[in-house]
Amino acid sequence: MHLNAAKDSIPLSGSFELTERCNLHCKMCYVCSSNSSNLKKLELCSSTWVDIAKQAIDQGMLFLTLTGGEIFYRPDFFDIYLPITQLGVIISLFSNGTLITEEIALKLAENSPNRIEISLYGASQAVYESITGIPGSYRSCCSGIELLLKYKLPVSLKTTLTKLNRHELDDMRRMAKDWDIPFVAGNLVSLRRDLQESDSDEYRLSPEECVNMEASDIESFEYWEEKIEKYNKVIVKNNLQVFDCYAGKASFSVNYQGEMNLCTLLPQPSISIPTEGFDRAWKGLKEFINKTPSLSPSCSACELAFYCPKCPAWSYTENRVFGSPVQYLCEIAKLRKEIFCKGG
Amino acid sequence: MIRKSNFVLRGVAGEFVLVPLKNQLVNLNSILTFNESAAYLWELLENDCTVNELVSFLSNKYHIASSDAKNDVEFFIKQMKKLDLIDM
Repeated sequence: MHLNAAKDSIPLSGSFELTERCNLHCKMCYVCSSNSSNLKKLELCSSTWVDIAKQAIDQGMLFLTLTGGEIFYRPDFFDIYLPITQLGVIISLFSNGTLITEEIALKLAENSPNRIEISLYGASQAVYESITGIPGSYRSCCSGIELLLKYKLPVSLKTTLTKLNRHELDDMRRMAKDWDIPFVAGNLVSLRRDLQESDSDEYRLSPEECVNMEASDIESFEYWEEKIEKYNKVIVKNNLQVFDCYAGKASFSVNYQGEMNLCTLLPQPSISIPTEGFDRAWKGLKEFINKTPSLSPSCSACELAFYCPKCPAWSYTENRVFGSPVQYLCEIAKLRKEIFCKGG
Repeated sequence: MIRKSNFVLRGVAGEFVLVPLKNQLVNLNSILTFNESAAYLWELLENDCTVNELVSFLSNKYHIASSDAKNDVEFFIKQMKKLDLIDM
């Protein structure tokens, strides 16, 4: 479906970042910098969000993710969410779960989204709160998850593995198993999207740790085995496009001020929907990716491209240049080939 | 019979997708997509229709034999009943 949408330039999937503010202060966060009242003043009001959703649906949006910051940090969250549930769009919510009360869970149960993804930062209070920086947040998160489960809401868990919580991966998996809900772990920590200095790279796993973790995870191992088997059967040409994802072709993101971006990790080209309208902003996104130069020669000729988690947002946040090699990802690609492609 | 009102059928990127309006969990564990004739039957069920009426509409629209149209309608209704998407 995404492939067809990309072919016809239909904005099938959207992310609305309702706020940049958050009650947690995660060390590796690429979004939040402060919770200032100035930031709040810049946020779109609930009726404007609903209007943007209507415009996006008119253009073909079928999947919508409401994200932040922390979505429940906005007291008017349901003034946005409830009207959108009536528009005929499949909704996912991303939250840290810590602000979910009985009242919120009950309201969600009356108008359930398709999916609620909760970020889990650790399996113990000590590790979880060493990342979030907020005392009591671990208990609040567990309580939020349990409230969602009490009302039979479709919860799943995800985590970003860092040097601070990698040793709790199995325990986090166990928590998900005990709650009988899906769990996924990511291991790539990107730099801040606003290009401000941050400690994010200090918390990253080393390339060796990333790939060893992938190799020790049965699902990830099987994924690579299957992918390599297919790869060996066909001649794969490197994709020369910088944007070889759906960004600007079938997906988009809208920041808290109503500016359309390519994705939540890449705040460009930032076209104001309240000023320009959704249609012109979407066209602007397409023009932006069409004007982006091709991949750097070293990336386009790279024999490790098949193993590389390359991403234009990573190139931009690390090097300020689209389509340029990111040393950290190059090392991951090299190690993946060594580990997963036994024949060399 | 008539379709339940808390759903909307969207035609997007060459597919027809049934989207729940109130509770996105209702009996649908995955996204439900319709082919063109199922989408047509769903639209007809906005108003109360009998099986014979659906058969007749389908047969006329797609120029197919009534017996084939009847099979298609019966299969469609069976699926819709299973998912609790229509009221009889």
